[in-house]
Amino acid sequence: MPSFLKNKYILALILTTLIIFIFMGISATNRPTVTLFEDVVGVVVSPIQKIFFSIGKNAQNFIQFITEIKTLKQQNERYLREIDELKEENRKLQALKDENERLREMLGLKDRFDKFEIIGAQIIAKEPGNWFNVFTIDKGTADGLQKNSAVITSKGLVGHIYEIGINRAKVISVIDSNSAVSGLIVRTRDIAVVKGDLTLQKDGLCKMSYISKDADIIPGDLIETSGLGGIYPKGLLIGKIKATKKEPYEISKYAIVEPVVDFKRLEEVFVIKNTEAALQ
Amino acid sequence: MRAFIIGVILVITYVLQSTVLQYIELWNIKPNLIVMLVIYFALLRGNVEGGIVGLFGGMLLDILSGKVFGLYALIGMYIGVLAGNFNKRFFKENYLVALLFTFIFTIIYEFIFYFFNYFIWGETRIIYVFKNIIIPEVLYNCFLAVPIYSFVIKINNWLEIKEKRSRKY
Repeated sequence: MPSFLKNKYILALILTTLIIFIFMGISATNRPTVTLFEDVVGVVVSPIQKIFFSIGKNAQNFIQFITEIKTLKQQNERYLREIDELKEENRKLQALKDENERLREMLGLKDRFDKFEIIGAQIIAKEPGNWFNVFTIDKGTADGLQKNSAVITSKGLVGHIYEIGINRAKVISVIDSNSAVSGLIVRTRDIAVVKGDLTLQKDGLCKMSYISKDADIIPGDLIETSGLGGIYPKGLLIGKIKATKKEPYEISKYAIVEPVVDFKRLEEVFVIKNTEAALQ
Repeated sequence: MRAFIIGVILVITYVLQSTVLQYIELWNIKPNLIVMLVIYFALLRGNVEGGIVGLFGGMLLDILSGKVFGLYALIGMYIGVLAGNFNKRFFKENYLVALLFTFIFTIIYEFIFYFFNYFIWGETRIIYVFKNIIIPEVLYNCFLAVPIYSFVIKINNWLEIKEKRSRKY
């Protein structure tokens, strides 16, 4: 036996390292839920996180309220005017909607969003470090969610669940550098990959890579999910193109994408429960 | 007793880290309180306790926030052991020493984390990473070093007194 193995502390260090390597291997496989031990820790800590998260949120809201009190009156007047204008526009749109529905019925099209079964969830924790863009929500397998369920807000796509326990689930957002979504540029019908990027995620942006060189894209083009790739259903809005850039020495180009979701201020999300049904 | 108290402190620190700390971000960077606890317990109590605090603090991060189980735990443990190896060479209750340790070991911790999460996977923009993530976080940690170190010293003294008393009887 080598002499350093006789030191029980070094032996313990090596053993712990090996055991963690084993667990690392298990957790890296495609397991549907977390282990019982992880669930127990989650069940204990989740309620505490929920309380602290709402304390932070309320404190921030209060400070914001104080600092904004002056501009609120002006804003209010502007909004009242806007409401009148919007009401008028709404009436016009309602007429168009009725017409649209009638025509759709004639064509036999079903609204694709009718198929989504969504469930609301609260964010209870955000990333504790400065590297990733992941967060934890307060719903888990007990609420009928599963791994890879897509997460959205009323505006558009947020990300998907990558690890799930009984009462909590970890969500990876589309701007995290480990995330990749197949995106469709709505106007030109080009398909490319929307990926998170370490340097862009701090500004809440991401990158659309591998756009063909000939694609005629301009800033402002909308991007939605293409439905390819097996996680995200088709037709969820991701964001819009902010700038396009040429990849050096390469035949494709890439674009900086501004997601419709503001990841800094995210508090509530919706999870699509029946992602598989919605995919078909 | 010591294990229980430190465990509770780690859980509370983790909860703060993952909830309210995002509201005191500077330049989109938050301090890393867990690694500071690991460094200070290692400095005060040596490499064994440093390693254990690092291991369990890391496991908490892994289970509740991490992507793959084990990375935070391993880095935490080795940082604790490494920092603890110097604990006999310095006058422990000196805040300059704490500041120096915070500076050096936060850099090492974050660099190892970056190396295994990004560098080996092809994200090699190392200058950007240092300039925008690691160095700001290190400075933020150093800024908080004195209050947090004095808190850890107080907890540690209180625990040592309790342990001495229970040993007498």
